[in-house]
Amino acid sequence: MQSPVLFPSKNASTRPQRVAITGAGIVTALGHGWAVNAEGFRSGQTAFRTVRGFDTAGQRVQIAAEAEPATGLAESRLGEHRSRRMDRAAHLLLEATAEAWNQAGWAGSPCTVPVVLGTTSGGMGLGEAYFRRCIGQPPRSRGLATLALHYQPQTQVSDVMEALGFEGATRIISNACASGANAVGEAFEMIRNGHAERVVTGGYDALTQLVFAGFDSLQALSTTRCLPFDTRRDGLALGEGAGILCLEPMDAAHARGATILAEIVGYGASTDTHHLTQPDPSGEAALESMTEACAQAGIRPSEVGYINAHGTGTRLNDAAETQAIHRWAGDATPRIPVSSTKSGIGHLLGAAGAVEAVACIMALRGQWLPPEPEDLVPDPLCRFPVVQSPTSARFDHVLSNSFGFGGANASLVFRKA
Amino acid sequence: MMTSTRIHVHGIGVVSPAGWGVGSFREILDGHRVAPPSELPHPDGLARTVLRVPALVPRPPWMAHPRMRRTSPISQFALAATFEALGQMGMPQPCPGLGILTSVMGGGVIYSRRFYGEVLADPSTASPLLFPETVFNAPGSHLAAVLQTRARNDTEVGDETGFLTSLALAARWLADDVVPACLVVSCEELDWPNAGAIGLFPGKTLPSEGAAALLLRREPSAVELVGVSSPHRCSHRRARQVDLETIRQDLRWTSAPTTQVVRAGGSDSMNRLEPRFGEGLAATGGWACVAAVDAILRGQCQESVAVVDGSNGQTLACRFQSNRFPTEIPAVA
Repeated sequence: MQSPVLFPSKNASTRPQRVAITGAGIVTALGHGWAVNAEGFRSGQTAFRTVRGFDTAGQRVQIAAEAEPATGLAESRLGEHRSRRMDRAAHLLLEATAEAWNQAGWAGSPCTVPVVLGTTSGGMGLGEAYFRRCIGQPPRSRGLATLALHYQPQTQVSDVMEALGFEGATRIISNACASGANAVGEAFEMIRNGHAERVVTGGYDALTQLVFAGFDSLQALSTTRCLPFDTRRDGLALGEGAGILCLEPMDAAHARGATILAEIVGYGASTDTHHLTQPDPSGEAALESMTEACAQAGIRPSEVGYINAHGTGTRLNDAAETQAIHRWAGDATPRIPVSSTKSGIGHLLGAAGAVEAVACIMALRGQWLPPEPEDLVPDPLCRFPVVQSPTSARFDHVLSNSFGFGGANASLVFRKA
Repeated sequence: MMTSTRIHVHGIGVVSPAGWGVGSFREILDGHRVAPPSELPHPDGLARTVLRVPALVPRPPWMAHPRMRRTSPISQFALAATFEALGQMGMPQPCPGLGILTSVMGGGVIYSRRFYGEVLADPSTASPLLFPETVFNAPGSHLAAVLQTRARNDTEVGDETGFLTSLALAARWLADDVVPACLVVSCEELDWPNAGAIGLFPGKTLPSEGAAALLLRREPSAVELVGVSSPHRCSHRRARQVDLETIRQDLRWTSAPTTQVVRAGGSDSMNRLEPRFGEGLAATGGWACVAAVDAILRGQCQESVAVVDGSNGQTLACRFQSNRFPTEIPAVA
């Protein structure tokens, strides 16, 4: 039952509630679903190829981690006509949401569930098609209204909710590359502070020509390989996909006998005002978000068993994040393994923080550390060990960082269930 | 954690086709003048009639801030509305700890149009100066940089109702002690892609642009934000009307003559802001809230409600009340 008001919260609690993750769904270039992605992250697979979705011939770079198209969802309540109108990003979102929804065991229960998602592009592919039709010679007006409608992330999310048979308030955060982490963090706070009983959260983004060309124009794309924290690193590689989590209070999850995948215990967010696209070299805002997340989790840096870094592979990001980790961890730095899963699946922009959250949950459950390529040459400035081969480990907490254009910084802490 | 749920409005700011500031907004709200329409060229050869924000002359000092050099109008609108809400004139003053929530629907469409046009022409020469301003959170980022705040800063992409969901989140941030003060902003700019898109939907009025801002704190002020409704979804996209009575019950506002209702965002033009200010997408929801708060500030009512019908088939409302008059208005559940 949905509260009749968003504010004030009817059930706001004075005692923080523990937040359980009872469902997770994922689509990346590694494949569709938990099993194939878990094996890909564990073994350090890479999934880059020449982009097929649009023409990259005139650009410096032609490589990205492109996901295989979704095959369609058998249980979708959308008709074929409506499903056809969904673009690539919406299909990625639908598939990941369906996996999380089913894993949580929420399917079949009539419910109203708020949705908090992150994306940078939404239906940008449809927006590009709209633009091309308008400037074409002659311009084509047929279908423009449909493109304008489905370009909007709210329509995409609404379609997904309808396909899975639930409804609720939607909130779509677009904080550039931190969008997915911010969405998960704010969904976590909704449950923790008693503002909601269940939340679907995560992030999604599909590769689009405008965004690909944008990063290429900034010369931020690697012309070789994406090698975060490598001394030879020369840029990032883009990817696409979706990561979705189902959150609920720990007590409620226990009461209904749900499988608890992990617990979210901390969220920190801050704003780096240094520059629109470049991080503060001192890592000050990143330090703040990491510190806030761990303070909320009630843990010291030495209790973090693995950091899933933002680690884009650009000179500036990795240097600033390295500084932030050193300042945050202090003497514990040499004992905290760090890696960036972007070396395998690319930078998923608005989906990155959410997909990397799923990767962290997989690592916690499997007790392994996602490696970067074995031939990586760690930057000597890094005082932390960069994971370079499939590694088993015993650990209880993971920290995941996401930093974005505009200075959006977010950190999440997960605890083993 | 939540210690108090009483949230108050400490400032309002607005940029609209009426001009820059609440003063010009009131002139059109009160019917003393109308915003002049203009023509916006479209690649199909048919110019669209739109309501644009008039040029700001002379340029205010904050336009000289390094972050503002390459910004497009959407960021300038957002900053102007913000400074008015903060009560700042001249050069901006630092506001450390200020949370910011920005809502957009079209976002930075001017730079997006220019950049994608360059990509289609020749991607190897597309300008790296344009791309960063195309991201949805560019205006929110500029606000944080100019105001020197490193606190929470979210950009929400939605429809006309985005300002109201941001109000609800801001109130929760304040109630949960996440930030000591929170600015809620909505902003839009016009270019042919969104002006053309608005014209594709029946019943819409002239496309327009601008921004609105509300500053919220827990400390008492003349106007209190009493509640924000959950979204009511319409059964069909074309039937955007949600029964006002349903929302009235949710927010428990009285039907007394002391209550003023401002409605915006729908496809009909009855008693709405749009005939005067045009279809300003996300800015429209902000204008409705500014108009509702301003009605209380001007002593026109003791209680006001902004009801906003979103283009994506949902309706939200928020209720404000005066703190100057002791009332028997029932609290929201």
